[in-house]
Amino acid sequence: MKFLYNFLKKQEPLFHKGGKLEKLYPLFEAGQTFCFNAELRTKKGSNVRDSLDTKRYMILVVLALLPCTLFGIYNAGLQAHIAAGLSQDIFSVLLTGALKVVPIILVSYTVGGLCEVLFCIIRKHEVNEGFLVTGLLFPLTLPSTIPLWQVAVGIAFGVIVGKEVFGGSGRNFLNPALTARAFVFFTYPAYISGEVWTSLIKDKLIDGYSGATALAVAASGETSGKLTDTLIESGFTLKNLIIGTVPGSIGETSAIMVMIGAVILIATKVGSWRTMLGGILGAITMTLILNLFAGDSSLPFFSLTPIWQLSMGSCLFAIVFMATDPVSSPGIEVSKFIYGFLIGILGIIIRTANPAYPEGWMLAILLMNVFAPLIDHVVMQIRIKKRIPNAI
Amino acid sequence: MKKIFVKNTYDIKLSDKPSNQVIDQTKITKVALIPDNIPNTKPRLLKKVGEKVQIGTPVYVDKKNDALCFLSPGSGTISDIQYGKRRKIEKVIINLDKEETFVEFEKVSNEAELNNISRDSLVDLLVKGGLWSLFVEYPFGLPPKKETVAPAIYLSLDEDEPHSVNSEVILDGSISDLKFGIKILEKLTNEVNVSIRQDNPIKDQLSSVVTHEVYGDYPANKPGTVLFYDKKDMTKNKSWGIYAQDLLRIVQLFKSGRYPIERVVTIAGPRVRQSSHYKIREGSAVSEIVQLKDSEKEVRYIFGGVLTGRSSGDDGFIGYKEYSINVLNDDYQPELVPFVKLGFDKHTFGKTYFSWLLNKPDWQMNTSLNGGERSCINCSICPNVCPMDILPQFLMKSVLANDVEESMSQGLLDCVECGLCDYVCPSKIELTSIVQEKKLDLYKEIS
Repeated sequence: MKFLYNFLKKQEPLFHKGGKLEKLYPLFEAGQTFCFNAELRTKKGSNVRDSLDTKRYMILVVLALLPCTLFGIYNAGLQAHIAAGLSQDIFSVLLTGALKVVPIILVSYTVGGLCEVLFCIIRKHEVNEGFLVTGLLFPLTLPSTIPLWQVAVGIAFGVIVGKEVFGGSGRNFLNPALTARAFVFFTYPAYISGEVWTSLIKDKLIDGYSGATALAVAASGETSGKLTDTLIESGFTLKNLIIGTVPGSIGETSAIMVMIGAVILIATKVGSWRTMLGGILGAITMTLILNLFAGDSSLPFFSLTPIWQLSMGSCLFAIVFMATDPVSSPGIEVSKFIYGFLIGILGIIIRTANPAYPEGWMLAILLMNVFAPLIDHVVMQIRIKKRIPNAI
Repeated sequence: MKKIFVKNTYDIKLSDKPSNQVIDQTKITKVALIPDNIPNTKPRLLKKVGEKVQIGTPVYVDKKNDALCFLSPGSGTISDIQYGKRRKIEKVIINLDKEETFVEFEKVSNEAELNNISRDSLVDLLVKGGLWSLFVEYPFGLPPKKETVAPAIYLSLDEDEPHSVNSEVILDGSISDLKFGIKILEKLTNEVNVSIRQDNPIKDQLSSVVTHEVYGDYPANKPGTVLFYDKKDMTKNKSWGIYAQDLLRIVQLFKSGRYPIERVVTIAGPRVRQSSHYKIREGSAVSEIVQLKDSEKEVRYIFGGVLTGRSSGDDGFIGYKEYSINVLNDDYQPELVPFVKLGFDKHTFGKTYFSWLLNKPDWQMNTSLNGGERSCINCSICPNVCPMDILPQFLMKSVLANDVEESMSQGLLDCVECGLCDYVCPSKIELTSIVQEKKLDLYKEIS
């Protein structure tokens, strides 16, 4: 440790003003503060500071995402093996999954990281840790079939347009991971529209395999009896949906893994439980309202009960990990709840009522990101009215 | 007795709490005046280098507010005047004589005498005696003008910033002085509110004068906080605040007729030989009064609490209105990837490190920023430590956007500058300084 520290210290003058590599200082600073605690001392204000910094804050979100990531790797392999009729032995499944998913994550981190560092060098600010989260969140929202070049283009768009043009983490108003996904979704709809999302192995396909996601089945409306029966026939039992062994985006399928992440976020107080609770209540409310309208003439999707709606698709993943992004969500406790609730309502509406979009959460959250400052403003005005004015 | 429940308070649990023992440390060779410890003072010097001064001789007055007259806390020769950037006066150093002499002021030693003098002459006495600057006028937290009359004065018996002087120690044997002091305050204004920490053992002895009982940790007992929770409308916004130890100095001035130079302060920190209360003289140099266990590593001396205090190196002097010296380690210890550790040894407000499981009674802290400066990520931790019901992250943004109206409606002027939002911020933004500077700008604009 001492050796590494001394080595870094020795290189430091190279990156300072006047040094040969002066332009690469943000990169050096990021490397050094990644390896060691910050050397900075307090100057103004409080002389002592909390141990929590943004690195810790963001790394906890990454930690919360790990269960989803690992399960995503397993599930991508599992779906591929089911489609090809291969053995479902855990090691070969994990190997197949890792070969599919790890490159996507690596591309996302590398390309996104490059964009981030490039901006830091031009704009001369520190490398923001928020990228650690964005770089992992984005791949988890993609199907494992996505071509790697699309991952690269998507994350580059997300980092640059979603974040860096506004000045970096903290100044963006949209969730960068969702901005990246929205870009890929609208630019290359054929790859991400939610029809067939299973990675195929050498075009081997067993007969009668459809590979459609639960949402595609539900939205197609080709049902003779109850929609739940059709879903169960296609292999989407409630148990499968909650465990997550169904086709879908890499990280979204398992409700259990998302819940583990949610517990980590809430226990460490990094994610807002108000947003999550609001989101789930919103989704349940809207589902119940739709249930009232469900009948023979309506879309069969209307008839699904809340538990089905919550466990299908990316509902929980989006509410737990995407809606709680602090930068793009409102800052006041009450508005966080309202914001989550509206996301829940909008997400369910878009998913069920609009056949053009297989899933609604990305759009619901991006839309509410735009409205977040407005919600804050309204709540703030109410708060201000309660204050005893103190003016000069 | 009105009960005041202050929400969103926080005790940072600083280690090395000073003991209640009072150690005498008054033998010194030099003293200094530090204009900086009252914000916004622009000193006009009345004495030059080489001139003789007595205890109580005016050394400088504020250019804007001539009620702020600062007296020499020692008798001797002015040996040096140190300037900072833009010829700002930083220190006026006085070498003490062996035999010290005093300037004598008029005495007001009992209630009868107090009743006989008018309010104006009382104010004059305070100004001449150099103790007018002990009052702060809200909302700006700066000393008032001579001619203003406060709608109310809030006297806080407990300063509750970590390692501040313990009221049990300073009020030991001085309860009658304190009661006399309250009489003086009553002469200055119509309404005097006296607040005390709810669990203070001397509460019963003072039940006849105490008006407010305060529940909550730091900064619940700041006079500004009590004012915020006590006021019903705008009339009391411009009240004054004062602490018990300040008031006792005023009483001392009135009773003895001499400028009070001795006071009890706390000196504490992990490397201080004995963390305790000390009886010292105003303007003492840390090199003469603070004894460290060793001198290997660098330390920072903080005058006042660790959250709001003024810091200096080992050439520092304790100022006019500072009652504690906190000594913190200032050196850097490299630690490999601290942010992925479980962190049982890391003090934190939230639950991001496992240290919250241990429920440790105190934490040894240092001056590390514990992270890099970043933009605000809207994590919403700071509102949890703002007792004034402000949302610091929003206030900071509207201040930086120069939206004065919006800032004021959000409570800019209610801020008591406690420094807790600075402490918790994971992006290491100096929220308190940003607000403080804006308030000072506003003050300069209107005065």
